[in-house]
Amino acid sequence: MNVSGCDDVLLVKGAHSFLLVASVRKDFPLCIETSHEEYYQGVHAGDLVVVSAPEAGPVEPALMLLELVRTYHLPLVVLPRDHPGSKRIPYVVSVAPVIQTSCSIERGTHPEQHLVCSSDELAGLTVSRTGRDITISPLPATLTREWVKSMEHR
Amino acid sequence: MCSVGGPTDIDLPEDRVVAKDYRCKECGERFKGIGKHPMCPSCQSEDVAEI
Repeated sequence: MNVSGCDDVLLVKGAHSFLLVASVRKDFPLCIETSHEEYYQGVHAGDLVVVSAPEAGPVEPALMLLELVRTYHLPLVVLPRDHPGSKRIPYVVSVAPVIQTSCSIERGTHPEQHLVCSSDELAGLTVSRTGRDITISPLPATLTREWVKSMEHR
Repeated sequence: MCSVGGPTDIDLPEDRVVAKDYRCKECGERFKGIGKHPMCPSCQSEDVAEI
């Protein structure tokens, strides 16, 4: 499915979870902070930012998170496995030209594989961009999509 | 960014991260880059060399 209208944010909803998808507007180095190291990933205009809410919750904080990364280029902070704070994080973020959703990411996965954690119902999607279109493939009939205004346009 | 083991666990297994050391040819900044198009965090130049 192709969706046009890249000035705003695409909301893909299932019954119990959602994704936000938006395009990056300009190039920037994305900083990724871990407990031991600092990495930089080159992000380019047209790349995608996906915020996944595997357990749903309100959309507005996810929109804020999206803009903190896309517009304000805040670093991503990565918690080590089994960190006690992990269970309090309702949203996860991925930034890449093509992003795949998965509910069963295996150990050993690394950022270059462009995966973002999702719920079961949103797993198996590939999100990409062609021109001004955002492509989601496949898009099961159980999911809905709509454009929502970014925080900048509210 | 990937997530492992559950819907809200965030994990970046550093022993498997394919990061390379780069030096920016424009400003001399050294950094660890991931992905196909490393970019200098200091001046945002893509004119970088692997070291």
